[in-house]
Amino acid sequence: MKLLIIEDEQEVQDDLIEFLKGENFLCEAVSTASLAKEKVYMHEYDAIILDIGLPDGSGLEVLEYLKKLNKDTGVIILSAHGAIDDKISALNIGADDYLTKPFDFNELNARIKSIIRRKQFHGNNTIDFGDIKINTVSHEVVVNNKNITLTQKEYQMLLYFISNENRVITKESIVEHLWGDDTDMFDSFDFIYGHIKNLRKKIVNAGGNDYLSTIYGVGYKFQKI
Amino acid sequence: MASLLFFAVAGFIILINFNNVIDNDINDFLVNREEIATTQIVNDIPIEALNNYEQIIKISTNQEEIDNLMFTDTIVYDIIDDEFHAYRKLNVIRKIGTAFYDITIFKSLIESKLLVVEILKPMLLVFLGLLTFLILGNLFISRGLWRPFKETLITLKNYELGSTRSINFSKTNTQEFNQLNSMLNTMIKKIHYDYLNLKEFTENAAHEIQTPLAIIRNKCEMLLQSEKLTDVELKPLKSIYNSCLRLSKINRGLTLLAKIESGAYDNSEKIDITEVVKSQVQHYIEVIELNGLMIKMDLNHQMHFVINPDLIEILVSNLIRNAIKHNTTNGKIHIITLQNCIRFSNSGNQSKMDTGQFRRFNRSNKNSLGLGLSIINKICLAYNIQLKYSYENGLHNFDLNF
Repeated sequence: MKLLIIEDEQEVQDDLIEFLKGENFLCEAVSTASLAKEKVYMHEYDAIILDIGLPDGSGLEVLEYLKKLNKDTGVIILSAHGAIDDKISALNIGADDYLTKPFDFNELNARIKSIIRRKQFHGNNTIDFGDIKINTVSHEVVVNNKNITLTQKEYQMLLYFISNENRVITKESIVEHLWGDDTDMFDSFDFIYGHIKNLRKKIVNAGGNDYLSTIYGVGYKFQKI
Repeated sequence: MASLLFFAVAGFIILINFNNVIDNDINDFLVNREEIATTQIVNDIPIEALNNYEQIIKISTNQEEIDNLMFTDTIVYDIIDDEFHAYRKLNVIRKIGTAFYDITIFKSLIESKLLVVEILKPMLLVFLGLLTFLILGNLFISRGLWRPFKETLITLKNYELGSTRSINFSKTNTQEFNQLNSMLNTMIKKIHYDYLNLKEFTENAAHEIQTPLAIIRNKCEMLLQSEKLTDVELKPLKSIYNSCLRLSKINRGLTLLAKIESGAYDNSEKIDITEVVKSQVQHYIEVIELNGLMIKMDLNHQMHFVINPDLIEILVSNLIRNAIKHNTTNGKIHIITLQNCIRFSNSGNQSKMDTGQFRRFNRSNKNSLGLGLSIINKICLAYNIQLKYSYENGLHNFDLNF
């Protein structure tokens, strides 16, 4: 999987490269709009991570250029602007997703994978993880050849865990993924234990393995045994 | 009104003065007649020769004071008119020679009353004329002379800080108003400039903070992935991570508040409020259940309101979140619609809160940012939705009146 990172802030760019390489992506990075246009003209990428505020123009120009080239590359916008109209115009031009800085690496990871999944038309719509099979179109989850019924949030959580396999996921990150920016609503994140407990129980009851381990004081990790 | 009062008082004073003058005149007349009568008696003209209005009786004894003029008002029966008339009477006892005479002189007051009326009539007319003139004059002055001032007021009223439309005062012939307008112009330009500066600063600050925050957050996440960290290192790291999350949330909340205030959300459409409530409740239903809360909805009244779709979502979700956040274990949430009103009620540990809670960073709960209610309040203010808080039977009620 090849990704292009367009980000002018050197530190953020370095972090992105380091993180995405760890997720086994091939990464290229540029920090200006003109270089970015050159890159997208010459190469094919599976997904592009695009910062809106670039020194020589707006990231939206790059997006428009990409669409003019008729390339169907998945684009995730990264923006320091939380402005809704920015988001709307970006999505109108043809961005696939939009993340506001500061963003969560796990969240970015889940979104990149989801975009790449959607873009692969000839690929299948199922995700295999050990004895878990997920159909991302019908939202059907099969564990150990048994259908299990998950609530919407449990389904989202499972997908999030699988996207971030082998990574430590904080409770805050899970809550933010499930409820967006509404995490301040919860006096404590205790209720997330209830959600996780239910999900675990459903998988184990169907005869599946318990892939989830608790990292004390930090969060969770989903990994093959 | 004041001029009317002034005229009334002036008229009253003039009336009293007239009466006094006429009174004095009549009294003089009576004294005069009495002197004539006395002279006649002295000159031995027979008493019968005197006219009707004088009555002289010779009295033998002197019981009363001599030469004491006594004026009294009285009524006398008039045979011709067959009615009573007002008369002024002068009564005096005189000693002429050796005899005592009780002299009484009468004078009708009819003519003097008529005189007063005749004089007051034209005066009243003059007063009325003056009054009308004054009122019309005032109207003219306020319509004409104060017109530029009123225009200035209207211009100021319609002026909106932060709008790109510049303020224009019309030129007038009055120097003072021109001065006022030019001073207002300078003042508003200064305010506008300061406002833009502040706004730019806020936007820049909010924007520029995001990148360093992103770096801190991502570095924390990378460190958290490390398996070599011990508890001693993990604990402060987690604390940095959480503070960073909190900071970015505060930043987002404040930016949102600033945006609502500056009217950045201006594209409105007609929204079915009950639909928004239903979808937001759906969004939070698992959280509500996980927090052991009971939710009861009664959304029978249809409600439509013209508002920005994002803002109404933020408004409703903030109200629901507030109801979840400040609830008790096994508490309840009620959402009821009434005629043009929607009520969010929740049980809670605290007793009635004061309205200061609608201000920023006023929080009762350590984990909350203290921005939720203030965002609710701001949206309601921006769209003229009446927000009412009440507390009854252990339920905190938030009413939105559309």
